This record gives sequence, structure tokens and C-alpha cells, in this order.
Amino acid sequence: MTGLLVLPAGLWYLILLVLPLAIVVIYSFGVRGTDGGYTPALVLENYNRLFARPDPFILSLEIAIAGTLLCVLIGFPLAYYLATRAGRRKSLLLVLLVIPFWTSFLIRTIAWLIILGPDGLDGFMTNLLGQDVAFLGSPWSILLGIVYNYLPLMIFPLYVTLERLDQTLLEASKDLGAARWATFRQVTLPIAAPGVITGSILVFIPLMGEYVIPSILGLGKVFLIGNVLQLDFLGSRNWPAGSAKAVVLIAIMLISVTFYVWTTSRGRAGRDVSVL
Amino acid sequence: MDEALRQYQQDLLKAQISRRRFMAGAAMASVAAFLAACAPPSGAASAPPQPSPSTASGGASPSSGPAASAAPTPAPSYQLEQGMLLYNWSDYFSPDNLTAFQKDFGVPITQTTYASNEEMLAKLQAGGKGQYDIAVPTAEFSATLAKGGFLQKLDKSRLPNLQLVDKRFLTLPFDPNDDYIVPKDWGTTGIIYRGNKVTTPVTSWKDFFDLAKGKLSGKVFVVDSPGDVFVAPLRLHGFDVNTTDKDQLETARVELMALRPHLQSIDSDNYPTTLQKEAAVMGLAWNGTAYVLQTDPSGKYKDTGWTVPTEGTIYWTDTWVLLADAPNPNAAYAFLNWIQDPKQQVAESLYAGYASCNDAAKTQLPTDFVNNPAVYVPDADLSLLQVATDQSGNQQRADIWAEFKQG
Repeated sequence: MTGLLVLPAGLWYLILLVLPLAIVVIYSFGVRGTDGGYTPALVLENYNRLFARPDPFILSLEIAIAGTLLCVLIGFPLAYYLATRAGRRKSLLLVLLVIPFWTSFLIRTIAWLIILGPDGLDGFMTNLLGQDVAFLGSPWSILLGIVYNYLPLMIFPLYVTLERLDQTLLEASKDLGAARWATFRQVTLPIAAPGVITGSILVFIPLMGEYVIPSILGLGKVFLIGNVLQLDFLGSRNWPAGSAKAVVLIAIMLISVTFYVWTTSRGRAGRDVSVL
Repeated sequence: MDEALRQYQQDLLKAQISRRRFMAGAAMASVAAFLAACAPPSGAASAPPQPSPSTASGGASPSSGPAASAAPTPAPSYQLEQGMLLYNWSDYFSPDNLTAFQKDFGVPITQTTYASNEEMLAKLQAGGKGQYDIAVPTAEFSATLAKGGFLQKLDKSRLPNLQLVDKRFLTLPFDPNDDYIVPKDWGTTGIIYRGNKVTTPVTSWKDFFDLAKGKLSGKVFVVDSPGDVFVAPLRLHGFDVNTTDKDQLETARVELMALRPHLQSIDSDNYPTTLQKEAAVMGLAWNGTAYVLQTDPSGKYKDTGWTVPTEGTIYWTDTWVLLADAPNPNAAYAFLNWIQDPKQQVAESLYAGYASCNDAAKTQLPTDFVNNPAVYVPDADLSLLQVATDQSGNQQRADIWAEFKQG
């Protein structure tokens, strides 16, 4: 019976995750066919060449970390407000948070292209300062697009944990003489930690592979790991090279996320707090 | 994560405005139109509903339809199927020709579209047999398709109109015996500029690099296409555009990296708008855009200039190919022959804004179209043009391009 319960999900993961992953790993040891694609082989060349050009990976990491931090900094106060202070407006505000999702992700991102472009911010600033301003096409414009698109992914897990926050704990803290800041730091924050961790992972992992936002707002000049993979698979049609990069990326993500979860939830195991 | 990446790629590919797609997109004035153009609900577009061929013309026999009443092309002697499946770039097939083919042969064409050669290849690889009859790859990509077994050899006895094709577009290096391709139209890679902002003459790649690194720094773009961008530094130094020589490519690398900090964008999709807004005023691009901007109904971009650099550049050809597992080969042959008729060629050229590969069509096109150097390279400059072969497998080029993109 227990086996039957996990059967659908198990099959799903086997066919759509484990098998494709196995194919990617196998491809990563192959060589490019004469006309692109994959020719079976067993070489380490794709891995050897990997570390020759770490810059796109480093830039991706920087943008992903900065984006995640910004999402926490902006998302936490908002989630806190929603969970504890919004009162009757709470439902309305939650709906407003979701509404942008009704529009295609692509259209929302292309809209920024216009807002920031020569008819928008850049044009305005250029006129104002009398010299060329090019915010669009810089890593900063990508950070903006990223925070805009990923913020709800941070807010909702935070909101859920903060919503469940037991008000009597805050009262107890106050009774015991803690000031508001001390209560926040010693009671609210530890309880919200699982939300922060979940939100960070939800934002950070897709950010590392983000491809559309840099492609559109980077004007082709911001080169992240997603763009590298795109170039490998579609540009030079070198599937093995792209596969090797994908394998290493997955490995690094697994290790770093495991490390992150392990360090942030250490010592809280006894308090029965689930992370995901 | 891989799954998500693939989805993103698909979404983006669908959203991209290819060099052809822009022909329709250029007219978009409002933000709304822009957004609508950028996000079609799907890549597919079918022919408008038409009466079924069996009721319209008594079945598949072409001779029983109003066959070839207008076109001098004789009706084929073989039985046609009931439909024809065309896989094409978006906005790259004249709607007039779409209806004309049905009128002439009683066979409706169903058109599906793609945004890049690679997207087409992926669909052919993944989508199973018999999806389409005819596709429209760029010539050098046809060679890749042919080697992959996706194309069938053409029976030239069924394509008498091939004799109308300018010999320059036949026996190309990718298809030395013309086994696979029927030329559609052609264009060049060169320098586009806004005449109101670029006042010094631009005649060469040297001018391009000098201006980009000097007066026009930050106001210059290149298309996001290594095959085109490599042409500039290679020809600047007098090297073969298809070179694989390590030292020559290294020279090109140094030249490109020196150019890189001065670029406004590396972009193939949005650059016409960029030029209109003067966010960039000069670029390495494809000629069709110059024609589109010059003839913009607003008249605001008449100053757009096009230069075939004196050091030489490449020209590219788009081609009709017959797919190996075409379900309607007879209709496809009828189409491939019919489309080379000058009447159809004129409609194609005027619709897409690119030069016809057909000599007879050239004499029937409007004079200002034929004499526009942004459409037809002047005869005196023809010697500057070379054919580019597919170099996407060259590792050194791939590395240089990655470094260039990274900046």
C-alpha cells in the first residue's frame, strides 16, 4: 500500500528526472559530432576545459546571491506586515501580489526593456544629465529584473511561517522583559528562519540557471551560466561540452544548498522545524 | 533544472524576432503592438480556412483546377496530394503566394513557423516523421540537414524553372551539385547606420572599427551571431572569412575584444528599434533592416544607410529544401517549381524585402527596389561578396565568441 502511494511520483521522477540526468551525465563524456550534437566516446576533455573560463559562473553566483539577499531584505518586511499588521486588507494585498503572475513572465520582462530603455529611464537620464546613461544592458538591470520576478517566491514562504507565528510567544517575551527589538531577534526571527531558508532556496536555485532575464535585459552583453549553456547547445551545437557544464553546475548547487541548509538549521533539529 | 532551462529556451525562441520576423515587426509603433508581436501564443500558424481541394477542383488533379491560368509555369504531369506542409521562418512567405498556390493547384498550404535554424533542426530531430514537406534553412545549414539525413535529393527533371535561378546561387560550397537546395532569396552582412548621426562616410570595416572605438563609442551594436561578427575583423586584416588558421583567429580575437567595451548591445532581435530610438546609431547587421527602416511609413528613418565594406563581406542565401520524409512530395515539387516563376518571386521579394535569386524576377521588380543598394548589392560591389560556410564546430571560434560575449 505504501509502495502504491509513491508509485506515481516515483515514476514521474524516474522518467523525467533520473533518466534525463543520466543522459546528461553520459553525454558529458562524449564528443561533438561533426555536424553538432553528440557522438559517443569516453573522454574527460569536456571537464578539463571547464575551468578555463570561470567568469560567467562567478558572475552568475554574484547575481544569484545579491538577488536572493535583496529578495530577503525587501520580502521580509512585506511578509511581516502582511502576516501581522495588514488586518482586513490582507486578502486584497495577497491578491495584488499574485496578479502580476497572470501576465506571461516573458511579457513582464520585455516590459522592463521598454521601461528602462531609450524611451524610459535611460532616455530620461540621458536628457537630464546631458551624457549617455546605459543602465539597461548592465548587470544592475538584470538584478532589477530578477528581484522583480522572483520576489513573490520569497514573500510567500515567509508569509506562511510568519502567519503561523503564535502571538502568545511574543506576549511571553514581552512579559519576560524583552524589548521589541530583542523579541524580534530572539523570537520572531528564529521562528521565521525556515521561511527564509525555503524562500532563499526557491529564489537562489532558479536564479543560478536564469537565462531569459539576462538575455533580454542584458542586451546580449551579460553572460551568465544559462547563456553559456544556451551557446553550447544551440550556438556551437556542442552537446557534450554543455552537458559537462550542466553536470558540474548541478553538483555545485547540490553541495552548496546542502551546506546552506545544514549550517542554517544546525542546532534547531531538536525543535522539530522542517526546512522544506 | 534542465527541464526548466529547456522550457525557457523554447519560450525565448518563440519570442525572438528573427531577421525575417522584423519585416512585419518594424511597423509596430505602440508598446502594445510590440508586446503582442513578441509573444505569439504559439509558433504555429495555419493557412486561412479554404474550401477543401476535393470540392474546389475535383480532387488532386492539378489540371482540373484553374491551373496555371496566370502563371506561365506548366501544370505538372503528376498527381498532387491534398495539401502541402511548409515549415518556415515567421513572416517569410508572401500571403499572396499562399492563396495563389491554392488557386493555381487546388492544394492548400499549411504553414508552421520557427525563429531559428536550430529550433527547426530540434523539431525535425524530436518531432517524428512526416511532419513537413518543405523547410527554409539558411544555405549553410542545409548542408547540416543534408548530412543528418533530413533532406531528399531533388529530381531536377521535375524542376524546370531552376534554369531561371542566377548561377551565382547554385553550386554553392555546401551543395556543390545542387542536390538539395532551391534558392529563396539572399542578403548581405554589412554596416548599417543612421545618416543623421553618422556624418563621416562609412565605407569599410576599418571605418567601422575606428568609429566604434572613437566617436561612436557606446552607440554601436553587432548582431548576436558569430558567423556574421567574425567577418569584420577577419576581412579587416584581409583573411578568408572561413579561416580556421589559429593565428588569424587570434588576430580576430584581439580585434573583437578591443571593440567589445564600446558596444551598446550584442543583439539580433531588437536592433531595428534600437536604431529607430538612436540608442545605437551604427551596427554590424543584415541588409533587410536598412530597407525596412528606409521605407518605414513614418518616413522618419529615410536617412538609414547601408555599406558593403570595401574589404569584403559575406552574403547568405535562404533556401527551400525538400524533407526526406515529406508526406506530400508531389505537391512539394509543384511548389518548388512554381515558386521560381518570376511572378511568385516578385511577390516574395517585395513581401520579405530581400533580393530574389532569380534573374528574371529582377527585371520585373520596381526599379527603386532593384537599385537600392540595401536590397541588391550594386554590380560593382559583387566581387566583394563571399560565401560563408558553417563554422559553428570550430572550437577556437566558439571560445573566442564566449569570451566576446562575456566581455
